[in-house]
Amino acid sequence: MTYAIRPAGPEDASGITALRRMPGVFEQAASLPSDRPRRMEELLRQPGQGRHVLVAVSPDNTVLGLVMLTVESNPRRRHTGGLGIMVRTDCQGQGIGTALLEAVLDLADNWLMLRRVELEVYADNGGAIRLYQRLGFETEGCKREAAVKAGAYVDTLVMARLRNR
Amino acid sequence: MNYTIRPIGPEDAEGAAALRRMPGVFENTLGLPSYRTADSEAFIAGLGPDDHNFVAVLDDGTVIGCAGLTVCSNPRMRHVGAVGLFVHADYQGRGVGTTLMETLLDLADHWLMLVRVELEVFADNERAIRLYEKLGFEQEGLLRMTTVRNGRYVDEYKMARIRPGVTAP
Repeated sequence: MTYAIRPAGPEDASGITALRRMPGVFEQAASLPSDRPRRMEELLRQPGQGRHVLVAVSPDNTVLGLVMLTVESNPRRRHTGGLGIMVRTDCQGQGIGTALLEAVLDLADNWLMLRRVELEVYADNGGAIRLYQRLGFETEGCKREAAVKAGAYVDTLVMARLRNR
Repeated sequence: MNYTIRPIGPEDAEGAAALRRMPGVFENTLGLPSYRTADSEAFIAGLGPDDHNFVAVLDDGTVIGCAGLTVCSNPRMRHVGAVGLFVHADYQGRGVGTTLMETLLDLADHWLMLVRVELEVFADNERAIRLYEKLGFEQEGLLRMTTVRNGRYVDEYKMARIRPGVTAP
């Protein structure tokens, strides 16, 4: 499958929202089937200095995946960024997630000089956990009953990747 | 020592700012010595429906403690609140922090019906960790190198308290 990775723009708002709502995606993310494009459009129009959003798109500009890196705004945490990623259900297992993560980690390491990148992942999402581990993330803890999923309060893991400790 | 606990208001901006930048307070919270009263005013003015912030004040209006609970805005995390606390350097170790936290937890348990209240605390801040453990918080993980303190990146514990009586389905 051919795809390109590029920065997201407001024109991607509907495509990204379709991704956020998609069965097989929304459950494992923090989104809902009721998400609307307007919020995403506003965010992409005015991401601010700390937010970096990349999308993987097919030749016809369908959004196949998205990664977002948000640098902490508190002055004492400017060396830390938070990460979130999602890939279309029907495009998973093909390396798109890895490619998006490598792109955003290159940004973090070599252009933003972040020392810590952190993320949260549902404790039962084995596939995602293994992907993050391959890219150098380590589990630091388990947040109990931290989110709603399929009618239950579920645990999320905090994982982080450090540079030059 | 007579003090009252009440919601923060614009009149507390200067007192809260003084606390936020105070030596003995700012290091172990996220304050800076350069924190301005204007920053404090903007913070207070910007509080919204998910923010619940209190101050402990002496009879003469001196702010001796601040504490806040913020309900998570993500629709799938509305049962979660994050708390933070700081107490004037001259008034620590006298129960002010405990009273402020109890105020927040009463709100969380009995009026907001939150399931989970969470916080972060520097890993070497034993006094604070003991306070939180006394109030039912448990350590969930060590977050490494999260914050700058005195020229180094230091670790924090993630701690959380699940509302007593809640059982997972």
